[in-house]
Amino acid sequence: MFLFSNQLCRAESQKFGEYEVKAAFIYNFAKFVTWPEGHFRGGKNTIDLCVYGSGFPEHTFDYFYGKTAQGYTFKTKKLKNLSYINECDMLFIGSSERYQITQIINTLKDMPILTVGDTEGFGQKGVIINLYIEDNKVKFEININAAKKAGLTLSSQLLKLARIIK
Amino acid sequence: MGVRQNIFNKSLKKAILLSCFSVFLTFFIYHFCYGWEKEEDPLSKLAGLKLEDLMKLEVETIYSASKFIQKTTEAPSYVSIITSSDIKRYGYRTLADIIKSLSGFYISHDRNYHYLGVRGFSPPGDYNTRVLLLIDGHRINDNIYNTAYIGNEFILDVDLIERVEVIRGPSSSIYGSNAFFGIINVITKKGKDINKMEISGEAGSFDTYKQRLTFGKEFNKDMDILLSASFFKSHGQSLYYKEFDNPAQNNGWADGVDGEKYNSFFLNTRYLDFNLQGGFITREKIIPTAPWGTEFNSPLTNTTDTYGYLNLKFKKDINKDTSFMSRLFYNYYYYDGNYLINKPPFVRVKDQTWGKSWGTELQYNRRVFEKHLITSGFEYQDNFLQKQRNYDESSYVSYLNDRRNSYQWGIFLQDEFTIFDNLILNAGIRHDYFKFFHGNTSPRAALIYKPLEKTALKFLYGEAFRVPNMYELYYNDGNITQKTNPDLDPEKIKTYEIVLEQYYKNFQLSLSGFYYKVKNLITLTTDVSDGLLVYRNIDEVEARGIEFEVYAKWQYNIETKINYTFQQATDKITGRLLVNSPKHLVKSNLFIPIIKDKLSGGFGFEYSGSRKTLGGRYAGGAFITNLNILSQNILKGLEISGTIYNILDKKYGFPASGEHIQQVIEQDGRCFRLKLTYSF
Repeated sequence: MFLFSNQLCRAESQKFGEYEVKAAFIYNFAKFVTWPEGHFRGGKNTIDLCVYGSGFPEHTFDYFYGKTAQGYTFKTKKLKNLSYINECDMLFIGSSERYQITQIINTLKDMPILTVGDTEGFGQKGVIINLYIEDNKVKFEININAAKKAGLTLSSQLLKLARIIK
Repeated sequence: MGVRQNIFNKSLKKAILLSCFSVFLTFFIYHFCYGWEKEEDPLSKLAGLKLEDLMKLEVETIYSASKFIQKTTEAPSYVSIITSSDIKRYGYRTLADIIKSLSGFYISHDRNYHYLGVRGFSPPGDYNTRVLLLIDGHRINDNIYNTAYIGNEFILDVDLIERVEVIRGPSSSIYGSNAFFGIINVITKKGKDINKMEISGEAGSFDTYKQRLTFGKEFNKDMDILLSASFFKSHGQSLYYKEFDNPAQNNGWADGVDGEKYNSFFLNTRYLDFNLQGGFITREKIIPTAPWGTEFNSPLTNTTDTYGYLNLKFKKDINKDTSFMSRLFYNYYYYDGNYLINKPPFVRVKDQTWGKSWGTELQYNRRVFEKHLITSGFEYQDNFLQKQRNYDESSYVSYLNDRRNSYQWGIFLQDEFTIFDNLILNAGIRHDYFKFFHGNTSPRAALIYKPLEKTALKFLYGEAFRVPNMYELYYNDGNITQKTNPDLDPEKIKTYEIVLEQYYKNFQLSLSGFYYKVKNLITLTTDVSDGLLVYRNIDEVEARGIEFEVYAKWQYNIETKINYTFQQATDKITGRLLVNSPKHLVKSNLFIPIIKDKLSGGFGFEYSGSRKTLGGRYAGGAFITNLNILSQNILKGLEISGTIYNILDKKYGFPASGEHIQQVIEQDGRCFRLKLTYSF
């Protein structure tokens, strides 16, 4: 019994929570997006994921901080308000913003930012990639027009796996 | 009491020793194979996964509690989910095996049917009428006994279950009658879950064999088909009953009269938004216990239950805020009982039941003003045949020939109101009308507060009802053992419950406290004036208790679950504990992958405390241990499992209902099962 409990007590968490999986999705998205030419000018060598709003575990997006995607370093930061939005390459919008989402999309205008959400209806309202759950699994939908407007090219590999909103 | 306590302590010690030994062994094997080095960080493993693989990982969500998909922490009840992988891991053979592994549930078995108990209620003579059993939302309780069949008589092979959602507490506000103590919603597999041919064979103790053949396929997203057939046969065992121990009755030995057989078929197809589902089972069981004064040790006392249904469903998401569902269904039930009555000359009594019904349901979900999710529905069922017969087969003297029909309808409305991001009010109300009874209205309200992301606190209030079934109202066998009571009233329940759900690191914790009050509980009693069995509304019964469960996932993908229930269900007038109501329940599971995803061990430990019998004695508590070894993917498409049930060969029994001479019906000792499944 001693050995048993000892082993278990030292054991680390290996449960993949919903948001751990969602964070992995978002990190993966960074690998399949092409930003407009000249986007990474002036020695910029990071892909910055900004996180806005609430409705998800606080440290969700720190899991993949410092990893690389397309040769760039993947960084995350929490955004208190949208005035620093031009420092972001990707923007995750929490479900707390479900009543302000149209306003947020209007603020972004045509900026080359990959918007990601995980709230029902965000896709239709202009968020480029929206995560949802089906059969207990995390899936995603893509709003192609919103991606075009932002000047982003999404790889066909990504489109193939997604539910497309036209 | 002292002696019983001793036996319990002894078997508990044995169980703990045995489980420690097995755990030790598995760890040893594991480390022998993989060495002692530390595994890599799970999150970096997650980062290494491709999108395709990420899309295959499961996250828990729940549908049944409010008829639309929710996260478990937002469901207005205390919910448990058992998945198809749990069924494989722990070697569950029947729905009863699944249910008894759950916190707060317990099972009785009289060697014919399985009965379930929850919240301390499982009065002898109750045919599982107080729990609603659904398959993909379709009501399975028949229209004569209202029974939820959970043993081998359950219509669906457990191998075809995708998951089982179990909801504690009343849900009459959505589902109407019978959703009294809870609902069990069985979600079936689709063709795409099988996606090939599957052939399965199993062999077990007492000459038990089962075969299954399943075909499943999804055709270009528009169409999906699953077809399956299962065949089961068991010779059963020789059983000793001391009550019949005399030379004239084979010295108490029932030899070769425990046989059981079933054939079942299942069809599940989808074309675009239409889903057609059908199930059929016919199951035969010889009764070894000689109930209702039948001749002991005779194979001529047996029952056959045949059940079938068809369900055509249309479901459409009109837009992101609105969805619509309608369905049309047909149910068929036929019961054929043969009883050889021992009062020379022998009398062969035939007991038969026919139940047929059709019905329809409409449901409409809509989100309004952003913060309200409205679910509304209408249900109608026409029981166009409810017939019970009982006659003497030798002389054709008829004791009962009761043919009826009835109808019922219900209408419901529920609102999930997101008051703040972390505060949800879920309130619903349903009105039901029955041909034989006045209308009944059932409300339910739940306040769900999430002070932190990983904490949910639920305050639940519910009311539910159950109308007496045809059997309770109109059954009699010519007043030989049982008489009718057409004056029965519906029974009603009010419940209060608080649930705390907490996620912490790799732990999931839930704690629940409940108080249930039942009025007019329908119970099988003996009328002292004539000695006949009769159903009566016993005045008032109450139950209170607490439940506690911890689930954890550890390094090496080891999973553990342990829960404890303390419950006290008493007659409010006499203050006495109810019959067949254990005060303590402990369930525990341990899953250990031995060689990655190829070989695993699943332990189940179940303790159910002592239960009072009808005669005022006690059936001792029992600690039952099961072990399942599962091997997958060693050869492509081949799955092998070996299971030992009741490893310690513990002798135990459940309180018998009034038709038995026995006070306690003894259960199976140690038994085995070997199962092979091959997909190609």
